[in-house]
Amino acid sequence: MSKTALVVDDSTSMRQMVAFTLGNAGFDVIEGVDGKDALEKSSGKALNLVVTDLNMPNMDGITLIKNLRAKPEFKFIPILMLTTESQDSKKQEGKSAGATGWIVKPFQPDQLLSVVSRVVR
Amino acid sequence: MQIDMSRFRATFFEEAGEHLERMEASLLLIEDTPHDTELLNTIFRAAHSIKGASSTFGIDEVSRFTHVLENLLDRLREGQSVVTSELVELLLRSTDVLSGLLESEKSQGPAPENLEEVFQALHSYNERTAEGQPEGAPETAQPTAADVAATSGSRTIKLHFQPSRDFFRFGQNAVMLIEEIHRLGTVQGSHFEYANVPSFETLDPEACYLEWEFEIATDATDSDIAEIFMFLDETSKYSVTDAAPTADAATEAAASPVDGADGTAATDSDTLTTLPAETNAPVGERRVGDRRVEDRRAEPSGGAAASGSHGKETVRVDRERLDKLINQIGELVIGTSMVEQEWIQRNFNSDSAALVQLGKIVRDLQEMSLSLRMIPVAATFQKMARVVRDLSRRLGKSVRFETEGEDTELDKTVVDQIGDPLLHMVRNSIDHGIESSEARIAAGKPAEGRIVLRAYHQGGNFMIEVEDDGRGLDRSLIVKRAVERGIIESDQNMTDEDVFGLIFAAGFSTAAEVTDVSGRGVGMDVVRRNVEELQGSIVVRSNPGEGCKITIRLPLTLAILDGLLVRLRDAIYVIPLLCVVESIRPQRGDIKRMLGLGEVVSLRGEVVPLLFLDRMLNPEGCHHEDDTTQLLVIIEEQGRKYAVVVDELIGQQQVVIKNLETNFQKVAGVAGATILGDGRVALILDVGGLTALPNRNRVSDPNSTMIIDAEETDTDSEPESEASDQELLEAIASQT
Repeated sequence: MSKTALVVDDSTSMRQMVAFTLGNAGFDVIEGVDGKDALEKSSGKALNLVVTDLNMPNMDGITLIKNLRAKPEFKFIPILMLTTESQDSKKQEGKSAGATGWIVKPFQPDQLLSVVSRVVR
Repeated sequence: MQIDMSRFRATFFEEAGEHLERMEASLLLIEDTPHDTELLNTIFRAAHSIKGASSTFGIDEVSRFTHVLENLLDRLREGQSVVTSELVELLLRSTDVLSGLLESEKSQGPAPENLEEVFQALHSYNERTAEGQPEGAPETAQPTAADVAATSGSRTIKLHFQPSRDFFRFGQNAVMLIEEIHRLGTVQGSHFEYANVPSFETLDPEACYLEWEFEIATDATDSDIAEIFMFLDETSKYSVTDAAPTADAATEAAASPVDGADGTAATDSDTLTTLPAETNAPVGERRVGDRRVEDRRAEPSGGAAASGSHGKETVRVDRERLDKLINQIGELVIGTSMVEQEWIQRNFNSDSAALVQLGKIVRDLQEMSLSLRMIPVAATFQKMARVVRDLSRRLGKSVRFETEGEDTELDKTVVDQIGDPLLHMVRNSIDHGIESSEARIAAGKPAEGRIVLRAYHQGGNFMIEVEDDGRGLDRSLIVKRAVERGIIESDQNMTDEDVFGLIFAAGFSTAAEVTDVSGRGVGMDVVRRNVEELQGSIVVRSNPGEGCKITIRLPLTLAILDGLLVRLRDAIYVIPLLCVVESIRPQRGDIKRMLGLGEVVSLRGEVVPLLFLDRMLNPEGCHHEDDTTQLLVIIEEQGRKYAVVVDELIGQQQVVIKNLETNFQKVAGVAGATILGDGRVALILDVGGLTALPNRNRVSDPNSTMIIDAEETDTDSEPESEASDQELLEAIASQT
């Protein structure tokens, strides 16, 4: 059975890049343009991975993570957040909200996959 | 896996452009509402987004620039510096530089000239504001090298690692972590703690009850260690204690217990040392659990909190594909018309219900397809806001800019082309229309001038207006100038509208002195040409002292055209309906020949030159003139009238424009072609180009008369009876 990843970023290019990379790695990808969109689209789905940007309109990544973690079906799935090096405080905030880990922008597809391989069984 | 990042670049440039537009619009608003956090967030997010993506896609210059910009914006957002008009100016210049930078990256061209200057300005602004910082405030400033240096160097650490009960449920792999810990340095000792494993009856097979402790000689910094544990769930714990050089009580005090996986020193009192005693109760879980509950209370059920209307979903489509689709649907419309005509011919004018239905669906489909390319004019309006701001400042005038109908939609092709004309008009309004504050007050007007940019739909047309409350147009000044420049001889019989229209004449300018803003007299005639190229028209209304309103009327789309179908010999032509004034059947004696003008018709005292389409469009291959010419269609171009000689008026029809250039080549005087219901091709006249053609109808010039070449003559035609100009003229005249 193939795995499903939820990729959330308001930047289309970034979202496409992550989605494409994960798609190439065999994931079925659901794309969300912001936290709110992602929450709606993930509802009722079985997810194996979430990769989300933090700073987004409508609903930011931290709130999305909190909302996902509040649902029993998403309590244990790996959630990775995309941050920049200037957002050290965000990493902490994200962890508290329930993020599994982070990927620091900029990153290459290989780096993304190596991080993903560490959290997805 | 190698992934070609260049495939995302196009998307990046497109979205970066959108971010910039949003940023600019917000910057223009923020001056008035400097404390609007939502606006600040939007601006920040735009820069942040561009930075993140540009660095990922290796567009380094953009990323370097946005990095500094983002730092500055972050300060603003955190309230560490304030919005001043000077700062907004700098930020607006930054968006310009960024826009130029994106363009240069896209086209591999040179970077914008003032890149370094603005970069330095941003940089020094950051440094200036950082100096006055209270200590510890700039949390986001730089990932300082200081903390790295503080913890680097060879040392021996005690690393205690206690996974949470849910560790395995989170999909974590302890072996992998331990392997990574080993890579930190030399593991000098380790301890495996399994005392917490309960009796078999109460054991949860999926839970984790284990703990580890390592003693490692390492160069690794705290943040290196944090990297290893970055994927720990919140309730798992690790701590780093300095074990060397002397393991006495003093170092115990210097221990830095670490909470969770983030590498931040824990402030809670219940550090790891107290944990083993409480393992029966899931302490860690409860502790963090409590905090989570609090978090949620602070932000009640996030989903509902952030609710509100969700933005419409959109799909990005390649422009070329969209154009192809619209074109293809145009073909479908033509094909359907052909079927309809054929049906009528074969079935003796009886109707087919199915065909009627099909025709309706196809036409609906066409309308729908055209609407796909419709976009709001908001972005164009926004650019004008910037122009007004910059220009009014430069001229020291106080101007309020308002827009109405920003959401009005228009074909993207048209939107792309109205920017320049609008720019000229808005500039003109500020430069010539709006008076200085003193003059305004003296005239009993509010000190602040007002410019309104308005868009709306009216009867299948798109209307766009630039209105100002400035000094208005001065009829006598315009007339005087126009006479001086030889544009008119006098203003006799000219309405105000006619006179005001003169400002669009080439070489006309009433500005007393040429400013660097406008007044070179090249702007407004360009405006008119652009608008006419778009099949549009312009009307100027003005009351002296009260202001001026320029209204541009444009077709909603350039894909279809309202045309008058006319026949001249075998060929059918389409004349854009917008230029058609009237059609007349000339009387004997109406048509005369004038030196330098060729044949002319006298229309209520006005001398109107005749246009012979076949001669002009194909002077070489044109053959005889027969005596069937009997109708003239009067058209107007740039305020001048011309009479197109035709044999028959077929009727008014909406035609689908086919580009001649892509299918054949550019032909002067022809705007395009269309396919008629019966499958025949008709040329759509480009009236502007047509009237500018040389040898228009100057038959007095022997080289420009009909040259009959037997080889080139159409074989279908009758043997040519070589008609002289005079004969032709007589022929035309005798027809009536």
